[in-house]
This record gives sequence, structure tokens and C-alpha cells, in this order.
Amino acid sequence: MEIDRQAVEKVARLARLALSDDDVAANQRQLSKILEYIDQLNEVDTKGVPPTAQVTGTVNALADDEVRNERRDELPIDAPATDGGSIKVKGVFDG
Amino acid sequence: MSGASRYEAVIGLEIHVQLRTKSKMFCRCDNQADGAKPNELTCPVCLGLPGALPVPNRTAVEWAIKAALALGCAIPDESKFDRKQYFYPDLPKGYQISQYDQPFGGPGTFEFDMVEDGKTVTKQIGITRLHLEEDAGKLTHPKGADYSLVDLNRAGTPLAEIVTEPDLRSPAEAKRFLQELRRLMRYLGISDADMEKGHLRADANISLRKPGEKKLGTKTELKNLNSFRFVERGLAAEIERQTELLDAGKSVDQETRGFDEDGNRTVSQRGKEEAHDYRYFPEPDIPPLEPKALGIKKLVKGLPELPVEVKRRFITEYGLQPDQAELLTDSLDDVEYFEASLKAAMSGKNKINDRTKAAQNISKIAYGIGRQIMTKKMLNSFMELDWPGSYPSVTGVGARYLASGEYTMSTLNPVMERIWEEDLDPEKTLEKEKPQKLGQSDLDKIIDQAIADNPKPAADFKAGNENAKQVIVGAVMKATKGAANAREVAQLVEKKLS
Ligand SMILES: [Zn+2]
Repeated sequence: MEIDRQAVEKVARLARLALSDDDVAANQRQLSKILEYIDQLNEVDTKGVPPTAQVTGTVNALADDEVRNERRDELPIDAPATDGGSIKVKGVFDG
Repeated sequence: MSGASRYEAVIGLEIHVQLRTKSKMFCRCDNQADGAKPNELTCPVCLGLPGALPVPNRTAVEWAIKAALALGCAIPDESKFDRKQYFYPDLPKGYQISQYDQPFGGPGTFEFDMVEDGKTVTKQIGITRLHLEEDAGKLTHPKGADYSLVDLNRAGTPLAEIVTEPDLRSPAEAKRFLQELRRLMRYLGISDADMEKGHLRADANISLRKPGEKKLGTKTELKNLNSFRFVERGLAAEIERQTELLDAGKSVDQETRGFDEDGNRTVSQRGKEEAHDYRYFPEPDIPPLEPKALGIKKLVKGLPELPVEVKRRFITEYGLQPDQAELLTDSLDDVEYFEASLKAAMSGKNKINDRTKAAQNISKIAYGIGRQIMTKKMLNSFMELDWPGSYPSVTGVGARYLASGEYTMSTLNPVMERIWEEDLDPEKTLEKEKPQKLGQSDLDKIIDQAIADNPKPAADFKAGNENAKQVIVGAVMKATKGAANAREVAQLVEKKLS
């Protein structure tokens, strides 16, 4: 499946990624290649097979409502910058 | 303005209700984020770290189904979770686990009563769907800074999203719907539903059309109406804006808008929406759900008497006015309190035999004296007074003494307040503090004195100024410390002066 330039630019915009012209061209090539695998899958005859997103056969896998995680002093992630426990990010402003 | 009559407003709401489970939606982090330090209540699941496995909270799922049942929704045989992709700093995974095409609640109807033009009208609002999802984190923007701060304590908190049909026709009706919905959530015990704390968040869709027109006009979406006042004022401002556009022959653009409180107008937030292209797909990490296998019968049995029914019962059975019933049924605790008080009022040696009378007196005490104490203690709700178990009987005993005529509201007030604050025995205290019963001759004397003390109002009344007698009545009430009956005093004063 061929991915056109606009599709790459749209996905980049939705993912909040700034791509250079070269990046767009490279992604166009790479994404197209990846989707070729889907074309291979599409060759399988699925007539009469119900669509599913699951294969385990499990249903209603739920957990009881109890607090089991302790309060943590430090974030288990490498945030580039923190402030009083909060993660610092580039300014985003509502409204 | 007059716009309301030229056009009919068509309003639908989307409400997020924060569920008060102990742990989060898909991990076992503490869900009570009040007072926690930023990011203290997080784990690999709610931080969206690779390899973490989300497991839905059984209680949250049961509560969502409970809410759906209370809203008259059909419960599907199969349900599932989906990923909704979008990128924002408060969403660590890059997607939100939500429900797309198989929500827990199918179409339903929510019924409530409201007073319009002095008449009680029953409203039936269609519910499109109810689904379960997780909340995002909290972003704050320090003043003057060029950065924002992310706190993920709230990321993963369970939310029930309720979407209505465009069945609401005015800002007042929309506000009322929300208030009734809040009451329902509290009755069900699944949310604190405090709008100020963000437990209940509303967005609205609104369009206008000519009365009688079937086709819907172009709608706008009004975001973040986070208080009842905002809902009413924001919608009114948007109706006015759309009315002006249509009157001028212009068209309404379909867009997202926000309410600017200071300017009392709505403003476009077009930059924010981009294309809403969420690319939903089934959440591969969570097996599907079969709600009916979760014990629906038990959930149905566990449903409380719904607020609309309780209120109707308070009006028909106890003879209360709609506004009294409204206050007395604010929460299930209130209902229980009222009914225990009623029982206390209708038993004992000076019991009240007339149920309506007993109900009226309890209403007077609960929302006259009780409210006064609440205000003094800066409390929001009657129940926050933290009553010991015996307290409904205090109100009931008070109601009895009010009914027997031994106390008036003004003489009862200070004694009840003391009983409540010092935890005294109500019966003994009310008996001991009983005001001196005023004999007719005592009252006569006091009234004569009051007239003598107020010659000008007395003369004014004689000259035809009806209101002037209030000064004298006031003086008598003061002299008797409220023990006299104001209406009786007014009649006596009138008789003496004419
Ligand atoms: Zn967690």
C-alpha cells in the first residue's frame, strides 16, 4: 500500500511531530514498506471468520478495587526536568 | 432576551463523572488524589511505561453498569475497551483507554421533575450512551512561566461519560438536568459529584432552529462548563450569539467554543481542535467484557429508590412543597434523617398525630435552624454537621415541642442550637428551657407598653399607614423574646389602635 505525502504529514501533525521535508520522504517510504506486510495478511481468506481483537478466550478479567501501590517519592521515569515532583514540559495553554 | 422566543434552543450534554473508587481504573494506585504530592500516586501502568498491563477495576465496571441501569439504559451482552489516540502532555500513553462502539450503557431515558411557571413539569431526556474511561493528568501553568507542570496523580482515575440526546430546550433545563444527575450519582454512591472539585464536568452541544422546525441547525460545542452557573450562563451567552448571527442572515460555524466568564460571552477555541481523528482501535491488553455475567440482578436489587421517586413521595405522602422536598432529599442520608425525625416526632408523650404537620415542623427545623448552624460552621451540607446517631430524634423532639405550641421557631432556635452543639438530651433540655407561657393579661400589658413607647408609628397607623404597626409588633416580639405569636400580636395591636 502506497502512503502519500499528505498522509505522512497528517499523521505527523496528529502525533505532534515536526518533520523536515527529508523526514517526510523517508517516512513515506518506510510506512509504505510496513503496510506492505498488511497487504500480505490481506491475502488470507477470512470469509466466515468473525473479526476479533482478542485470541485468549478470556472474558471479564477484572481486579478487585483495593489500593496496592504505595505512594512513591520519586518518579520511576527519566523526566527531562521536574519541579516539586511535577514534570516540567514546554508550555501548553488552554483556551 | 427575546431571542428565546424567535428560536428554539436544542441542547445536548456530555458529562464526565469521576467515580469514587478506592483505586484507579486500570491499576491499583490510590484514586484519592486530594492532598497528595504531585506524581506520588503513579505506577508503570498509569505512567504509560512499556510492558505495563492495565487490569480494569471491578467496582468501577459494576458502578458504570449501575449508573447505566439507573438511567434506564439497555445493558449490552458484550462490551470492550478501546484506545483513543491523541497527543497531549497530560496523557502519558499517547492514548486514552475508553470505549468506542460497545459502551456499557445503550440508549436510555432520564426522568426528573422541575418547576416551570409555577407548575411541576416532568422532563424525559434521552440518554445516548454511558461509557467508562480513564482520566488524564493535571496540567498547571505557573504564572508568567514559559513551561507547564504535569501531575499524573489523576491519570487513570475512572470516569463515567454520559451523553444525552439533544432533548434539552433551555439553559435552565440543562442546569436542572445536571443538578438531578448529580443527585442521582450521589444516591448511587458512586461519585462525590462535586462540580467545584471537578468530579462532574460538562460540555454542551447547542444549536438554534425556528419553532416547529424539525431539522437541526448547525451546532457549536461549548467546552468546560464546570459549575452549574457556568452551564446556565454559558449556554445563555451562546444562544444570544447564535441568535444575533441568524438574525443578521449569517450562518453559525460548527466549532468548539469556551465560556469567558468576565466578558459573559463565548469565544472560539478553533485552534485547539485540529481534526478530531482519534483512530480508535480495540485495546489489545484488555480481554472483552460480558456485563451480564457480572451479576446484573444483584446490581438491580442494589439500586436505591431513585431521587425523582423519593421527591415525589415526599410531596404526596408528607404533604411537603416541591422546594421543601428538594432540600430534604438532597442525599440518601438526608432522606434517612428526615424519616427518622418523622418517626421521633410522631411518637413520645407529646407526639404529633398529623403526619403533614410533623413533616412541616421537621422541615422548618432542619432548614431553619440546621441551616443557620451550617452557615455558622461554614458547612455546605446539612449532613456535614456530623450527627451522632441519636440526632434525628433531636429534630423530631423539637418538632413535637413546636407543634404543642410550647415553643415558637424563635424560642426554639437558640435551645436547639445548644442541644446540637453541646450534645444535650433534647427532651430534658426542651422541657427545662420552656419559655414562660404568656398569659393574655401579660401580653396585653406588653402591647400597651410597646404602643406607649412608639407614639409616632401608632399615630401613623391610625392615619392609615398599615405598615407602621410592624414597628410595634417588632417591639412586642422583642420584649417577649419571640415567645408570642407574631400574627396574633399583629391582630391585637390592630384592635387596640382602631
Ligand atoms: Zn498507577
